[in-house]
Amino acid sequence: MGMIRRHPALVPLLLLLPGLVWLVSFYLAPNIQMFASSFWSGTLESGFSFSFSNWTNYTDALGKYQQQYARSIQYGFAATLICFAIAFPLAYFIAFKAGRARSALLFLVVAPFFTSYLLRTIGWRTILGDDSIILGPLKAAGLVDPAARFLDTPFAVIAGIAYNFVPFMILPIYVSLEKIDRRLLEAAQDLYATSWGAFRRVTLPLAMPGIFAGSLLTFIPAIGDFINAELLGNPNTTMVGNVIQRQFLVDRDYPTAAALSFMLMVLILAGVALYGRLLGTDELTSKAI
Amino acid sequence: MSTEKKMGMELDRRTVLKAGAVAGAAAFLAACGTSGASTEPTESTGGDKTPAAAINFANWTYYIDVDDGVDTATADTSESLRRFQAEYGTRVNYQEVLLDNDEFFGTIKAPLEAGQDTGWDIVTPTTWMAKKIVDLGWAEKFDKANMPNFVANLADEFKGRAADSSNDYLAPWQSLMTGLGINTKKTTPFTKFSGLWDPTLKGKVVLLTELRDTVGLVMLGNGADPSVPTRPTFDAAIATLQGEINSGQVRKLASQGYTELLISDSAYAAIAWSGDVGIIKLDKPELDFVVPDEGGMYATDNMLIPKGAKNKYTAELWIDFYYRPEIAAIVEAYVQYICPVKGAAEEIAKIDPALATNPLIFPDAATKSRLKVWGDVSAEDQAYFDEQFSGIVEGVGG
Repeated sequence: MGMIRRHPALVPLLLLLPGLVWLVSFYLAPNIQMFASSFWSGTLESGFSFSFSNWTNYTDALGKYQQQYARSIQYGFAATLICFAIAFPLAYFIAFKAGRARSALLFLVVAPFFTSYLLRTIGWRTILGDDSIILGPLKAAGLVDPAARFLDTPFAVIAGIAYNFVPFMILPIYVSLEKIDRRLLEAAQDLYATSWGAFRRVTLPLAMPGIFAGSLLTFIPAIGDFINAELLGNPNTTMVGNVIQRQFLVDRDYPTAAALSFMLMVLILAGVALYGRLLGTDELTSKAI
Repeated sequence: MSTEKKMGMELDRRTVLKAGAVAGAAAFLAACGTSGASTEPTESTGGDKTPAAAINFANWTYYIDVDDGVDTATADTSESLRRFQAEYGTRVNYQEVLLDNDEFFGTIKAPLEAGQDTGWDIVTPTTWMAKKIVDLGWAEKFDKANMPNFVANLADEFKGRAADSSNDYLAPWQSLMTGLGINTKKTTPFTKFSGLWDPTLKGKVVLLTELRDTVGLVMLGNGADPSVPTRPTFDAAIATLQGEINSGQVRKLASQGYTELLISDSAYAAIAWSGDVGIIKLDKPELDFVVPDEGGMYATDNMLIPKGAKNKYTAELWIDFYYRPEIAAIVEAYVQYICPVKGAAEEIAKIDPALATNPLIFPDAATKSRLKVWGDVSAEDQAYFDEQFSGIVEGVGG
């Protein structure tokens, strides 16, 4: 402790140390390894060799799997929009209207996390099945075409992603709404703002950090997800995550898998940077976090 | 064992199969986390013939008898494993970590290459993968002096196989037929493979993610022979598959999870494994297993002792123990696949006479003659096949 007293400058460094060690060991090092293996050629049986001339791994992978990238972006985007449409009104209700039920409602938002992600997704197979509790009665009543199905379609994949990630949208929005100083709203009313006007010019701008954080927390995992497409989709709803998973684990084509992963990461980083720019400022980011 | 007890076991396995995807996922996680076995038993080496305290056995899921009300086989929950322990004092550390031949091979390849112990004393790859391991010199040769039952009771069809001509390295565990699972209540029964592509089954067909099973059957349906696959016949089968996927005829490609689709009526027909259909049928009698007129596929999973295994002698004892007809019958009554042990039919009749004539466990000669084993091809051709089939699963041509 004496050393810290003598060198107070060390304190921030020491505080950062655990995080740094974590990041270097489990983020930076694997990423360097992944980047290197994206320039490999060869097979697991014959061994791999590194050469920068293997940059074609990237163009080959992009050429072959552009559809899966496009689909991941579309599904991720659609799921994020759905999450927002569900999360904002709910977060607003919890923050402003729920009163003493607030804690209970927040608990309900988090409750699904007490069950494994895989099990929850598999659960949807039962709920969405062709003769399930939803479609079965509708078909029996003649309201829906007997051949109609929801399971193993793009809708099921998007719905599954939205379902699994909606709490990540609700919680940040709730936090930013809850923080809003109610006197600002009273002031707006005193100044003859309509409730819509007060919402648009006070509540919504102050909720932006939460919306920003929530949409990133939803979109980023959504775009890389493969469980929902695997369990709720069909062969033509595969996302880039499915391809990466198969290339790594079944085909053991590590170079292609690494190139695909790296491109996905760059794509997400670029998207997030652009989004931050569009939505505003660094201040927004710092507030959100 | 009483009939009721056996039925109880099957009901339980059926429940487990219903959650096939769940269990598959759990096993997937287990497989990812296990690069070898968890215990490190050793048997005394040299000429000393003392069974080890424990051996490590890697097998596929739902592939050994399990007690009523339990869904994971361990030395405590499996009658056959318990009997082995009672007799030899050896606890079998039984792990269901084999989900995919290629994937599992990836986990044992590095130690084998380095001349090290893989941690497993027995593994059960399918014949084509087993042949690859034997050809690489990565399998221990059996000391048949320790294996009188294996020598006496190995079914004739397994003697002198190309993968192991003098039966020195591979002991068949189970054989399985791949054919069609058809819900005869929801669709008009059919026996031609092309029935799968009937418009009335649109969106109600599920296929396996296993290349040799799915492409093999499609090839047979196309009039080609999967025991001698060529690039043109393979490409034609891939084109058929892609067409049926894009038209929406095929709903999904699935691994073990296909059973759940059949059970929930989300699929009315599937490319299916014989044993699975046998189990589901107990609950859903309208489900039939059919070897199509054009033929079906046949494969065998084999016990093999990886090179450098610490407990080779005890592993041989287990293999020989399984080749006692009464032990094989215990396993068979539960798993309902095709048994490689002579005399097991008589023993199984004592458990349940109906099982001894069950065509899924004991198919007749006419059926057997229509079954094909996926042929060996050059490494280049196999790599090409793998890539094309992966493209189908990844939806590249969609």
